[in-house]
Amino acid sequence: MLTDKAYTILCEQLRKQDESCIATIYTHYAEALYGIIVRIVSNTEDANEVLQDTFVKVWEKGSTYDPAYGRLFTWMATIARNLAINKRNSKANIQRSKIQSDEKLVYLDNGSNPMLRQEALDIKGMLTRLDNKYALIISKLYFEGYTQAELSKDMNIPLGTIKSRVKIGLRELRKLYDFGVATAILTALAKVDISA
Amino acid sequence: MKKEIKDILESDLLERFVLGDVSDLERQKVISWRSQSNEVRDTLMELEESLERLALENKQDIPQSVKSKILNKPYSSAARPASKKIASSWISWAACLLLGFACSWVYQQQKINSISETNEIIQNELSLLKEECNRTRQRMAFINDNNTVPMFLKGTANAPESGVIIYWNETKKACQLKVANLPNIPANKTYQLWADVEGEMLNLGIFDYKEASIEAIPMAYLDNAESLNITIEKEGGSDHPDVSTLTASVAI
Repeated sequence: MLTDKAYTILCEQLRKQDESCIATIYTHYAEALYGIIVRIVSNTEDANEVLQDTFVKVWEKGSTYDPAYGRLFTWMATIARNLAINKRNSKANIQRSKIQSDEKLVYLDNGSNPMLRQEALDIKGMLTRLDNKYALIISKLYFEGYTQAELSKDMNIPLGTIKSRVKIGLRELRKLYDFGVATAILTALAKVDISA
Repeated sequence: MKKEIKDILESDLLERFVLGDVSDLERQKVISWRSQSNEVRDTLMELEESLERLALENKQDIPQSVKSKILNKPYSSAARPASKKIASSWISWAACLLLGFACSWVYQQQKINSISETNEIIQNELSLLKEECNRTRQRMAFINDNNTVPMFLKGTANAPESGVIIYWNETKKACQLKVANLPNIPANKTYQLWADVEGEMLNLGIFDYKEASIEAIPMAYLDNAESLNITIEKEGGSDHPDVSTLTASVAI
């Protein structure tokens, strides 16, 4: 992540339409945005196109971006997600995605093997350390562009349960990241001690 | 206003906002509350940071051709379209320039990539250190608060050498826990904190004893607690304590 100062400068550059911000945005966020896009659309070609469209739209709307509305990445991720969903819908392949998604559900429900889960969803990092029932819902909402209502219908789970799982899942995820930061600091300090 | 904020925090509106699952009206509502309430702003910030990290952990490699297209695009002209004649002339010039600089671009790009990667690593490390520093400051401020009372949970017969410090603040209705000493437990077990309220043991949360031995960690708070107790429970915690594993306790 960018430092606070670098982040503030980046937002200001975008608002003032300073084209140099594109390279910074690319360096820090493009692959993360691509990670969201590629999981929503069904092929690389579409993902490539959506990522380029995302950058154009981020630039075009950049002068209206206000940090008070939220973090820059959240704002860009919303743009990327919406463009990807539009692309997916325009290609009329929703049904295929849902069939694939149902197959993933079978994998997840049948096993607790984290490798199998990771392979099935291709999700990495802290999300894989969450309880399956939370990880699955967050993954589908964040990385596959589902709404809570769609998930409730697809998974045949009451909407209230979906909402609770999202709330608990995100809270647990935050705890994992907090602990991860502490661990990273300790590891870094340990390395310093060794070199000293 | 407080009730409205409480309602918003208890609802799933903020979670749906960061997941991009809100209507335009809801989005405006969240933006408005964000500027009015620190609690809403802080909660949103935490949610956004988590999801940003999640996205960064799940980033995907971008084909070089796509990268070149994105970085070489003339964005300024894309935002402010000129007349057809001027645009076409501009595009011709741009094409010539691009061809002319294509070779040097590839070479320079490799250099820039290398510097960017190094820069990113350093910035990540700085960011992590800064976050950690802020958290430590907040925890120290809580511990040094005039209304914070430290309590020492002594080890029971199960583990007499145990010791845990609880920082209890009735004014802020908050609690932090710091492990002085607790025996190692298997990976499929966890320590859990309980409050005895009117004869009933109520859950104040599970904690990682290794993490809590390094620094105080926030736990849940309950009014009218008569004693605080730590037991060893199954991984993930229990709804009811296994009192046979009582490890440390203190009467309030």
